[in-house]
Amino acid sequence: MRGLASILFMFCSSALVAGGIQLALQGVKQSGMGGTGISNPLDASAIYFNPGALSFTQKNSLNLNAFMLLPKFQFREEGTNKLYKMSSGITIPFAGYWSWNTNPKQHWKIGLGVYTPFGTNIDWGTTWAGRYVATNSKLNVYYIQPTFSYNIGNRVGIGAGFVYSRSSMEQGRALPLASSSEADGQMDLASKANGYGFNAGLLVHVTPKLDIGASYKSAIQYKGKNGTVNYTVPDALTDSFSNAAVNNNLQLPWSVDLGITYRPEPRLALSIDVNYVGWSAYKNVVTDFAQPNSLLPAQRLPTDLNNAATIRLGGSYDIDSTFTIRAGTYLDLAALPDGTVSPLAPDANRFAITLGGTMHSGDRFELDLSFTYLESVSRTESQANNYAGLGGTYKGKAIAIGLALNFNIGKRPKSTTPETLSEP
Amino acid sequence: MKYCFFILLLVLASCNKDLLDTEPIDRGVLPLSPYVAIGGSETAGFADGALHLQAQQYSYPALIAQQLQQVGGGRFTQPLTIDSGGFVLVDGQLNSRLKLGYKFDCKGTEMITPVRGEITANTLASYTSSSESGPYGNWGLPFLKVAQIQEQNLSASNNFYYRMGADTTTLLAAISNRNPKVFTIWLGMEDILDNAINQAPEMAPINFYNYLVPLLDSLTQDTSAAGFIATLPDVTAFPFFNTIPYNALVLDQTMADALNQTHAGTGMTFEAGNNAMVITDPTAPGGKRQILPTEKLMLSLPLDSLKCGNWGAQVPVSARYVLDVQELEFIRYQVENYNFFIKDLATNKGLNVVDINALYQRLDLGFNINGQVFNNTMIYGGFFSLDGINPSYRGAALIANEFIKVMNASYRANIPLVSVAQQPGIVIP
Repeated sequence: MRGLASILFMFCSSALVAGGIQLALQGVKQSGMGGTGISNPLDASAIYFNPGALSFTQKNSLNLNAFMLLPKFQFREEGTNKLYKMSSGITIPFAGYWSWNTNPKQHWKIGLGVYTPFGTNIDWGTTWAGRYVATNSKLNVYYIQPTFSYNIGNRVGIGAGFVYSRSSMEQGRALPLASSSEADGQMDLASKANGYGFNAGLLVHVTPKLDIGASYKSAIQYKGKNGTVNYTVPDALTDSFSNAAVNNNLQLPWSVDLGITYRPEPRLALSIDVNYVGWSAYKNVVTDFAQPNSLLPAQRLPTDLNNAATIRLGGSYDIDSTFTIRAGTYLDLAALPDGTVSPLAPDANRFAITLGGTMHSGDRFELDLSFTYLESVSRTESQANNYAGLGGTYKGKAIAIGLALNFNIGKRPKSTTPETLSEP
Repeated sequence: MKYCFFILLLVLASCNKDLLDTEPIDRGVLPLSPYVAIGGSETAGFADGALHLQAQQYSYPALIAQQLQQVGGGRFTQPLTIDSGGFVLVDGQLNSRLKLGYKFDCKGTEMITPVRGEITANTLASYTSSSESGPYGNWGLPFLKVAQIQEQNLSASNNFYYRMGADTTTLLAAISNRNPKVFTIWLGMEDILDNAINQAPEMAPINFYNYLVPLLDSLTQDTSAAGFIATLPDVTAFPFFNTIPYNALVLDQTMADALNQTHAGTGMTFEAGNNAMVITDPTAPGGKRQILPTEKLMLSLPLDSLKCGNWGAQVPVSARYVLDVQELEFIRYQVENYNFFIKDLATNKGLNVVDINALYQRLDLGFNINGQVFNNTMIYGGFFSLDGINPSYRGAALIANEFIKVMNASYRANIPLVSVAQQPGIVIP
């Protein structure tokens, strides 16, 4: 399997633009099951999915996930019938979790998660027809989350974690100011910022066959004071467009997650999750031009997003003691209303099917694989209605391949289901 | 490992296929060839104050022809100038096109302004000949007035006609000889502009109508031909008439006092700050008055005379550089009436109206195409070339698209539009 890993990682990859910029890639087991995981304590990745479920996980473990993304976007300009492709850069979202307690019999557990819940990496190039709206956009966000979880009588688990986050963002667009070489002007924004938030969850073990989970992931506000804006403009205009510092206030949305897991038999788990994401809280306030500039009007990114839901279905089946298979699907609804879709966030309703599997190697080690095929419904913006006058049709597809290594440090017999279920 | 191989195949398969299809393009029931364009400066590819190669290559008829070719249209020829500088006669002198460049003004301040390029041997060659031979599809002639269409010796009154090699015939005959299946007409602009800028005698709307009739009669003899005729915009909104502000006279208290003395008894008052410029007006006391905020100064007004010659201050600006209230009213009235007759003729002769006027009206508020705002401003407004009258290449693309939209709507065609953002922009040094 090591051979496979190296082959896979050789392939180009880029951001999976889900929910506009939300990545649904925080655990390989979960991503194989349509991203469900709110009510299913699978491993230390519960730190992200539901801190309340962490105390139900069996062993002290280290869970390392990496994903390779192959997104594809295309745009057909309204009226002209011309096609433009987004080129993919390389990003490999990762998620690492570590969980620990002094003794497996304890009702508490602590953990630490480092993961990337949001991200985008879009490059349309500098010659395409929409370059005055956007040439490129990159958002890297990672969260560090120390977590405490406790379960009351193996029935009710509660947990919460503090989130420290760092974001870095780059955005560029061409300016309709041709220089002597007939090349356009260019404006590039870059900023980095820190933010804080929390992640809290609850898991109720209703019956041996039924778990219900809920979690709340807070919005995170970033105040970037050290952003920069760089202009490349014709020589005659350098005085009008001087490079400057900008403030960039980014706010990433909250999410309310609910999940139900049902186990008709111990080897089979079926989950349904709903994520309700508060995109209306999403803010990306960048002053387009640092100083008032009469030559070109500023372009404001639309901020009137709708809250949007994602509905996930997934299941797992233990074939034998060494192999588990997973499958799932999800529907992710668009957050951007008509008229606000841009090449920075070619948002649309998305549909995905997922497959996954886990190989258990004794007590100590698990290897997870997942495969996600995601397709966005083609979305058309009219030139007359679009905020930037960019009319056309967007269509996206993505493939995500996940690989996780899970090292168990505890002394318990191997199982991926909660403790109570292994005692029929 | 078979499973892994399967994943790899999926990954590879997803890498190359297009996600979106292009829409089927279709000529519908539009006859395509030959396409002939008739009109004035905008049609000819006169921009940046000259007829020049690039403006011809990106003229709206050339762009329409290029899109028609995608659905099976034929070759479209234009009387291209020999080199990129092109040519124009300014006060009897040969000149090449305007480009933005650096120039020292009378006060020794370096400024960025449209400047004429070098005159070369090719400037003269362009004046007498073309690098492309006929029979031409583009019969747009810079400064073409409707009365000239049937003029016997057109080369004598329009120095752009000789180089088209048709000076033995009238323009009407030359056009009719092409037997166009598709034709676009945008006439009347030069009659309005010549009257507004050069104080040429006006062409009465009914005479405009009468001059168009024989042309349309000839073109519609072939009943299968498809004709498109453009409405005229309100030229007084062009940057040529709106770039120099009415109150460009900036004074300090001393200068204001001096002016108040100079113009004492005329009712004019001046104060420190921005003041309305002084213009000649025979009906005003002393034959001069201050310009009204609604009146317009032309871009032809020599800036050095303003800056160093006391024009607009001690020296009233000549009325030839001014559009006063009556003139503005008259121009708008003329445009309205020309448009009435254009629509009337279109109905009578079975032509399709292309509402270019509506496109220009949208410039008043400005509109966003692919992230670029187009409006009536010089240079940064994107729509007008450096002469402030004729369209830029992107302006020409917007005009071409208006024609194509009507072709699509009226002839069940699906001819792709021109990508506005992919036309060259205005070069800034």
